[in-house]
Amino acid sequence: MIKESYREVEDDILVKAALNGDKDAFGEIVSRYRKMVARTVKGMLGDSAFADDIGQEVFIKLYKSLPEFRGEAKLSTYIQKIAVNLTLNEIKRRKRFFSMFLQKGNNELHEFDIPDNGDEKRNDARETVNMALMALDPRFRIIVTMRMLQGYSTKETAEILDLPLGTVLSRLSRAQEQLKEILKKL
Amino acid sequence: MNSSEIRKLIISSLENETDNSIVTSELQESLSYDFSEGFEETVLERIFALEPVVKRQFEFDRSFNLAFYRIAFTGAAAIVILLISLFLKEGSLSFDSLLGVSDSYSESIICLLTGK
Repeated sequence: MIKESYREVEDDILVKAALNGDKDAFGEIVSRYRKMVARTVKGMLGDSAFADDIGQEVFIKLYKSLPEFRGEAKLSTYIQKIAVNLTLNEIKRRKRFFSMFLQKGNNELHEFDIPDNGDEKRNDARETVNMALMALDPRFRIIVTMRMLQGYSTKETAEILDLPLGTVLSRLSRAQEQLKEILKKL
Repeated sequence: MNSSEIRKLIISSLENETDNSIVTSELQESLSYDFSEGFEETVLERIFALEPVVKRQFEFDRSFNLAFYRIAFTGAAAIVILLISLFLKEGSLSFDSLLGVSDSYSESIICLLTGK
């Protein structure tokens, strides 16, 4: 489907070709970064069909904003920022939806609680990780996703999320505590 | 890697017993998050369907930028020409010469304004 000749081509050349309307060049960008985007989106939203839609939106938004990409940051960072923004918007949209239609006792956002079915053996690693991540507050979940699933440093995480380094560090510490508790309960 | 091994691995990394990079590569390999089959094709189809709109948007942005620079350049050039001609005519660029009252005496201006 995608031209083999693009496999070894660098990102900036692919971007220029895509800007000139080369569909194959953009196809190679999608192919190169789809797993990275999937880790962010699915890490934040869980393994659902919604995640695929958000993933598509990420690449459509990237295509539309390519003329604004000046190459100052890496293409992967640029895509990651789009993925994070769209995913957080989706979480906010869900939060509004839940607050409109459901009455909750507390104001904390936990769209997915840990199910209390200890008798059911869950040996699917992805499901375990998804359950643990979904039980985290989204502010902490994004930090864990960036650090643990994507392997970014704290500095890179701060840059992608547009947050001060200190905020990332404090959220990371709290996220780790929460995650440890959740995993021990699972 | 099964569920309990993953759990142990994450907990050990949270307790700083395992390096974060090892955990990341293990998680990436075991979880292998990806989108469904045909993801690329769907994205490209959607973009292709949007392409005329996106292209029009690109072209509008480009034309708008070009028009803005042309107008700004023309405006700046007109101001410079005006200042030069004013300097040549009046011999200075004082506030009075900008207002065109550099040759008038203050008494005659008061007279002109008040009618006395």
